[in-house]
Amino acid sequence: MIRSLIDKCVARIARIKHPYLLVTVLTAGCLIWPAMALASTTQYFGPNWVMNPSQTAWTGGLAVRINNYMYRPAGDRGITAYQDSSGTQFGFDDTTGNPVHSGSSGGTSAYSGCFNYSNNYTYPTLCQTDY
Amino acid sequence: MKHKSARNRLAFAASLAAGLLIALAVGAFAAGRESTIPTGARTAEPVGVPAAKAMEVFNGTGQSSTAQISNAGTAALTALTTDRSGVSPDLLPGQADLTKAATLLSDVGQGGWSLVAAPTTKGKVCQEVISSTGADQGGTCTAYLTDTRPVSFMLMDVDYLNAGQPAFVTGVASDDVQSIAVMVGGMSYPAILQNNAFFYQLPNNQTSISGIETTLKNGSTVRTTVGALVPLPSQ
Repeated sequence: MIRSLIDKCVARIARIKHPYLLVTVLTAGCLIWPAMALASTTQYFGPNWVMNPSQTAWTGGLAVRINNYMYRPAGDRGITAYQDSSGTQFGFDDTTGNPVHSGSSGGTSAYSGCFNYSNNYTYPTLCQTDY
Repeated sequence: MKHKSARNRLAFAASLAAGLLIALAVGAFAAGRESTIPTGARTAEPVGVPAAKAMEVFNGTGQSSTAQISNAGTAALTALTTDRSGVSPDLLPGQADLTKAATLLSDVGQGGWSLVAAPTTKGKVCQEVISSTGADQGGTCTAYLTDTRPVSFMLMDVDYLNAGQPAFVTGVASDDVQSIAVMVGGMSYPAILQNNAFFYQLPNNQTSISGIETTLKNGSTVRTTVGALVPLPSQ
């Protein structure tokens, strides 16, 4: 019964143009999409990352963030940075404290990341964005 | 016909396996975003009095009159002091002592912001800016307050630069601080200073500060260079 159903299904798919490519794509999509939704959506560089002088590191794509953190040795100024789809930058902190933290973007999508606002290499650095 | 059906089933199974492999490869790529390069310069941490000891508000000896901390403030300080895996212990602020947490500033600036703070088990002071709606706007933890750096600042703009809410500078100050002035465009403007905390809201369309001038109780003046919320390289 089940075998018959599988055969019917396979036969129907086989009549489609590029059937097995379609199955491959659908299978990958069906696994990746829910996994992305369910898995931790934290993206980061570090925790033992070297930041170049004046380097900006964007942790993720255009998305609504929950938190953005930067850890680096005190004395090297760090900024949590944001940039929305129109290219406008907004909402960053600037301090020698540790960690540097910016909270929720309140539903606004933006690229998130960190900026080494110093002329030094900064190590060890963690730049983490929670979506 | 039967042979063809078996071949189709085999191809179908192969397609499923290929899809699974692609999903695994994408997962592995996502997990591999971490970058670890074990070289680079490291800057020495400034030496001074641990921030929690330099602030009367946490030592119970003074005339401070702090408000009770909100649930949003407690949550923000807890999140800020949560240990993150792999971070050097030197960089972690320690656990917040929420029994001493306090609202140092209330309803300041256009956003009706509050500054909440708590000492930590490492003697640091963690501070968070909370909006009038209870949103956590960001914060940091200060390790030391020194003779040459008696204030710890955050320069923030919680929405768009030059639009929406204005930028502001806020932070904590040691007991030695008498007054704080913020330098903007060559002019000096007094900041609110109370409960070892300060706040100054920048004029609209202004995101640049040349410095913070701190007058100590012994009459000396310390100037801290701040800079600007600078344009960043494009994404």
